[in-house]
Amino acid sequence: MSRSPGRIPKEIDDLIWKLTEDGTPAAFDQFRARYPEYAKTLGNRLQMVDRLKGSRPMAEKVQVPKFRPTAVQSVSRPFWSPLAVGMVGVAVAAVITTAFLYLPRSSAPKQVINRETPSVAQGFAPNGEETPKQTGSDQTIPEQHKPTVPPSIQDSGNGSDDRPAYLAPQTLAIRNAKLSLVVEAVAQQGKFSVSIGPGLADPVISVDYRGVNSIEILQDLGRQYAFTPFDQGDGTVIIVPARDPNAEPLDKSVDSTPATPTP
Amino acid sequence: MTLPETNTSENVPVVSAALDRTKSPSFDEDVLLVDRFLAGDQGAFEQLYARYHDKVFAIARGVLLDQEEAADAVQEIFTLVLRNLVRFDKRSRFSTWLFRVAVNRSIQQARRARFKYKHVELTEANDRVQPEEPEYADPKVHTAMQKLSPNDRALLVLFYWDELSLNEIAESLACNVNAAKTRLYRARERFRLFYDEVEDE
Repeated sequence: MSRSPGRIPKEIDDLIWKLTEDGTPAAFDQFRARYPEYAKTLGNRLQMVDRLKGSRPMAEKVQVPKFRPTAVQSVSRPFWSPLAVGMVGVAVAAVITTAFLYLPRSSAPKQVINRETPSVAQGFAPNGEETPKQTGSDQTIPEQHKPTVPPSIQDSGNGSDDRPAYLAPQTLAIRNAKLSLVVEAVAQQGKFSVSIGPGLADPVISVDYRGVNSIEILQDLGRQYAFTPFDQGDGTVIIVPARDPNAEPLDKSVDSTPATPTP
Repeated sequence: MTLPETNTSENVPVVSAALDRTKSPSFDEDVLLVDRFLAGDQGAFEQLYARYHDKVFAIARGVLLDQEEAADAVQEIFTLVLRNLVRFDKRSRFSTWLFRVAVNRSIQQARRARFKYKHVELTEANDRVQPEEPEYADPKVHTAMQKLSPNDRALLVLFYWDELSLNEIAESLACNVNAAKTRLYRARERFRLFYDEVEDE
């Protein structure tokens, strides 16, 4: 008789197992009579199960020892688990260190720039004639925190002052730039937008204002170059190419050098 | 001395109900011992230990296939039970909860032992002292059992040695009855194949 389960039909095999588990002598005889070719298989199976059941450690053979609570060893963790935990810890520490050193910080301290004493003085080089000159604290400004104003503009409007930027004293030193660019630079420093009306003369000029707010700079430029700034009240200033007859001259107490046209 | 009439009449249905409860097939006498132990009676745990030592030992020995390891495992299993008895929620019988602990612990230990022996140096293995007489009454069954996984051994032990029903096996293995039945049949078939191989050797 082959022992391969594939040669015994499944229903016969199941029946043999059932007889092995719950069979009676009468049921065995009935099976042998009906399937004589599997009689030996049934006999082998019965013997196997009997031997398996007989291998159970008998109660009388096992003397019940006194219960002694023992230290329960941890077997759920493999031997390499401490190593894995350590490596994960090192990886996490490396990621945190990298992030701390190199990634931008959302709460980066604001750059405090003394508006009264500018730390930057650089030339405006629309024609590439002069290269920008950088000094002082500007070199420490992270790239993402640099102001969006053109590189020719001195950044002096980011102070912690409560005054609006357009009223805060500014420092602006630009050489050899067109008037329209200077006006836009003043607007950017004062955090407002500017709209220049048609017909405005656009000469190349140089300016050097210190301790003057953006509005005053515009008014002073307007007196020199025949335009009048009008505040629209919505953060926009319109430059009208006409002189304001009521305009007063710039306060002479502030340190300013009026714009001078560059030939 | 006679009890007051009123007390007697009131106690009769209470006693009767308690007796009925003990006759119920769902009544678990072990739970009374558990309750007594949790109330501070250390002797109650000793009774549980004595009552189930053999069955737990059979599970441990069947899975671990080693008498000494099984004896140690039994102590560990009952220590675990002692520590965690407060967590026994009584939704199942105490015995099935105990067998579940025993099966899980034995399987864990068998896996650890298998790994340990797998890494024993050959010279060290040769130096081991062989037992003077075979530890097992039936080496053929032992050899076939050795070839099975600890999980399969646990199923066969619960069914053939501890004679648990499929329902009890399912509870002990934390699975449903059909899954237990399927797993048992597969384990049984694998055992038969290994058993027949041994016969052929």
